[in-house]
Amino acid sequence: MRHFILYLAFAIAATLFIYFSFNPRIQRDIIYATAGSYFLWSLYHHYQVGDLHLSIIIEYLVFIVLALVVLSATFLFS
Amino acid sequence: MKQLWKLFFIPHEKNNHRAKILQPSFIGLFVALYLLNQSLIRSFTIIKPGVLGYSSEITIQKVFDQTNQMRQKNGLSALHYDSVLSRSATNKASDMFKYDYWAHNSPQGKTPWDFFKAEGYQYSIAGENLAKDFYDTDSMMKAWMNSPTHRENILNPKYQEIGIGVVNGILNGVKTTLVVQHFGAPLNGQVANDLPTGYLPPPSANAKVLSDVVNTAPVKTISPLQISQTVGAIMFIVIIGTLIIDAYYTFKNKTYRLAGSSAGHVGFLLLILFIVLASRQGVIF
Repeated sequence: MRHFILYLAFAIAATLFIYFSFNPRIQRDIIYATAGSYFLWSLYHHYQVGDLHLSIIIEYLVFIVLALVVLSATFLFS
Repeated sequence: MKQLWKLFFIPHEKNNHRAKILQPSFIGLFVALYLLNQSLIRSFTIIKPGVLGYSSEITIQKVFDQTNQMRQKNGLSALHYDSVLSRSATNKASDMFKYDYWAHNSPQGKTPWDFFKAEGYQYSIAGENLAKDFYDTDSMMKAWMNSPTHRENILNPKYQEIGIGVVNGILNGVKTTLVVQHFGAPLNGQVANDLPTGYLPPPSANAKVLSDVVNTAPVKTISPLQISQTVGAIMFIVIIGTLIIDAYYTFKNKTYRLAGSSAGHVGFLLLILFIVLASRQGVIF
């Protein structure tokens, strides 16, 4: 169920991203909101599972940083 | 080699039951490599300006035709081509290349209206649309029509005339094509009926062939966006593939370990991959 909600949120983010294709500022906000939501979801998910540890938090942060770095560069040149 | 493959992609006891590629230190390495790649692209555009760039097949004729098609689709009258406005639009594009900026107002404080005035165009109402880095007219027009403010300019019933500038040059070290639309309604109410130099009979009832400023044939160039997209996509595909392999082995061997959700990471990275691939070249302002 938790993963279903997450995938639903990603699908909504993708739809909004296409819908606001004319406005890079809103697109950027969608990306930041999605990344932030993903991080919050990870905290909730691992808290529920019972394995919320610093190493897991770092793992999620590193994945989010990678995504944001790649997207910033893509936006810089698009 | 097989051992190395196993270490990087297959979770087992030697990599603490987590593929090496998915460990935070390795993901950090991906971030560093990507940043290095971006720095190299940026440095290259400074050292060798004009080598990387966006090719374009946009012409004034196509922009003019499609603008009027959009207006007529919406029940509006076609705009008349005006050579004075065309000069102001071309001057605006040239000014952006000369002073290396991308905005309605120049760093020297020039507004779009200064370009109209410099050519002696007296207007009761005027507007400006800008676009850069687009390959074709269709996608550029689509971007303008999707943006409420640009659409408003194209479909403004008060405008009677249009001038278009399509100029190739180097902006921020990157070869590109700038497109400027200048709209206006003359103050004296007399609408121009200019025929640009090289005018040819219209191919259709509403189209004029405009050839006073013609964009040259597209030159094959590698765009910085293409490089960034390719490198980013390869990285994400490798990581997503490894996450799937990792999830498979973890499920098969029923391994318990302290790690993030592979399904969550796959979903998140698929979304990012989609965004990277969906990003199209071309910016409007």
